Amino acid sequence: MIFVVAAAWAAPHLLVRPGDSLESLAAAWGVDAAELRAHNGLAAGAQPRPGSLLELPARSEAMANLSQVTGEVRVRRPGQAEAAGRPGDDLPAGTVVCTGADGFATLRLASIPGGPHDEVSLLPGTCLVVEAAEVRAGRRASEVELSAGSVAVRDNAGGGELLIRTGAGLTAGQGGGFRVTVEPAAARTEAISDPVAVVGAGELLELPAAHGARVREGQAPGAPVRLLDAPALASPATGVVLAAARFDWAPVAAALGYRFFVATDPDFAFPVLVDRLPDAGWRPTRFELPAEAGAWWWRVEAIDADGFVGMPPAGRCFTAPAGLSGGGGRCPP
Amino acid sequence: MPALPSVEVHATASFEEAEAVAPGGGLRGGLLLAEHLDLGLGGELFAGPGGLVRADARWLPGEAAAGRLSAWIGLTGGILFADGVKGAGGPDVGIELPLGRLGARVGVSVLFSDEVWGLGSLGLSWRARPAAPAPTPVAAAPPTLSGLEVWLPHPVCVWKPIELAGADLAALPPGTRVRLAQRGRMSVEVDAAAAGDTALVEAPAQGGLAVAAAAADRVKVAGRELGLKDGAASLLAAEGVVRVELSGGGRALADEVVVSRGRVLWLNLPDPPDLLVFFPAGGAELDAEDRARIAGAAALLGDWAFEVSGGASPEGDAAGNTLLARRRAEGVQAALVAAGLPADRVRLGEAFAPDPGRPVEEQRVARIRPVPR
Repeated sequence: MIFVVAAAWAAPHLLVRPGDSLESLAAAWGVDAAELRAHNGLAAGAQPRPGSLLELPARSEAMANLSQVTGEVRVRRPGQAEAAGRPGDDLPAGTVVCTGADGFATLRLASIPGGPHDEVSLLPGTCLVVEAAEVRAGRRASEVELSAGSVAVRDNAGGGELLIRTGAGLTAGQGGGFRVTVEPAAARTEAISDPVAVVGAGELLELPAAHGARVREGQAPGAPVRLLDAPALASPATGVVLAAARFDWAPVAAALGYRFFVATDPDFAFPVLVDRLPDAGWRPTRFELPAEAGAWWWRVEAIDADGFVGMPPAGRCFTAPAGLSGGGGRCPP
Repeated sequence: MPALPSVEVHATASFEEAEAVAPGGGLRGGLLLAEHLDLGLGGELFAGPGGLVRADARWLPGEAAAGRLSAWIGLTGGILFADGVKGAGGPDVGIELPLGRLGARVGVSVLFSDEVWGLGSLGLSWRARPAAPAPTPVAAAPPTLSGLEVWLPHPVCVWKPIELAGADLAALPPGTRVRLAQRGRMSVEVDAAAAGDTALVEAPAQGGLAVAAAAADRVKVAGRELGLKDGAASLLAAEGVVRVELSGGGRALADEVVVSRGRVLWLNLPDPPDLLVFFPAGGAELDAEDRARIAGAAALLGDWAFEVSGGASPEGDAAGNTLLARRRAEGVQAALVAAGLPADRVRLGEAFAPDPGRPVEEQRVARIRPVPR
């Protein structure tokens, strides 16, 4: 029985969206339609319901690895002891990846060597299981089970199908650009740059970009909420040597607080600091960053009364004063 | 240079009969016991038991991964003890290849001869050879070019990834020094010709600290005063807990921060707060406690100045309140000067206008505000 469950989890699932048919999905993923039908126990002529999942037949090894690690990151591969995660570590199907209170990790999923891949960033206090990540018919499909914390999926034009399960429901996106956060008995999805599908209790919600939705356990997804606008960053300007941590931005109406975010890349796929500011008037004055990068990008996102994190502005680059570890780095022109 | 002793036990079987002055030769096998067990095999030629010239060459496969050739020439003097039994001993000098590993060997051999065929010897020798030179810090590890950057002084004057700098390095005049750097490693200046072979050692466990404070504040980190430029300073500090002290503007603060290897901590220290002196209704006198607080603030003025403003609650007549507010401010000003501050560092600010909407107790006040000089 355990084997059957394990096998069922090892192949990625496809979320059936409105307009999909078994035949169209089979064609898109290079699978024989009859085989896909039989594999999922569908009667002849029956069509899967939007919001349901179809499992692709035949498993393959997960093509996933850790592309970045900051702070404490633990990895437990199936049948192995827990170990510290290191960049480049392979993550076979069933691998658990957890970040500590100050840890960040970025997973590269369904990577085609030298080609595209999907990138998922784990914020501190996050645990997930890599369930599947593979390439079929030139398309990429990945699936993770998020049990705690928060992940952000990088916006990736031509990206793969990424399905994130939580205890409350699931979120599926094509091309990234969304965030999923586990909350007590619920999960919160924020679609940033592209629409995503959110499923709860078998009901599918098509969440447009710049909207968020919450799924509570056993319930259909809540109504979409428009995310707060991106704050207009005031200072420091981009490209500065940051001698003093003096940040400012134009307040966003209706923001109850902000999230101060620092990454080592302009797309924020490699975050190194996320700090929830305690109130809307607070500005970060003390923080620590790993010096390895030499150049960092910062931005803030407004948090609304329902806890949805708003749209991100374009990040601004800064470097450390020369003479420090990591100092003397350069921002790209 | 410390010598590494080796003890060699060897045995020889000759293939020529050894007469008094007859030449002979043999194969020699031996064990070298030094830092590790070593097996050697070689050959030797000798010229009789009384006054010998002996040469041997051995291959010492265990000395290094690729083995090492050892060639020795020895002189041995010998004595015939009895028919067929001779004793021989003498110094050896030798050279080991690759060149540069010169050694000396002394040994004693006892040779046995059956007068007919062959000659055996058992020997014990002690050999000293120089130890391998200690690795220099900048080349302790194999070169890792990835991330290594080189500062090219001529003709481009830029930092460049060393993988891309080959032609530029080759074009530099002989003897030109260049600087190499890599994140997390000690940067070093080396001869341009050696740049590609240099590996940088890890930087000591230090973290970066970027401290910002008001320009007039005095800041000490780990007991050393920081020179603030535009209110900011940065430094490398040893990993661990670092004490940060701040004084000026009437206050002194201390905090402990944790500096971590390979990380940068940005720390903004707060501006000095206002010091408030409260008065009873209609009163402008300072009590002993107020004077002590004012003296304490004066002692911590640093490079700041104080601006003193007075206030009065709105009840009563306006002219009297204006006068009262001024008397309160002037009293505090006088107390600051009495505490030792130069008069030009204590100025009077504008009095607070009475505010009917605020609690009266909060308005019977003098405010000492630290301001830049």
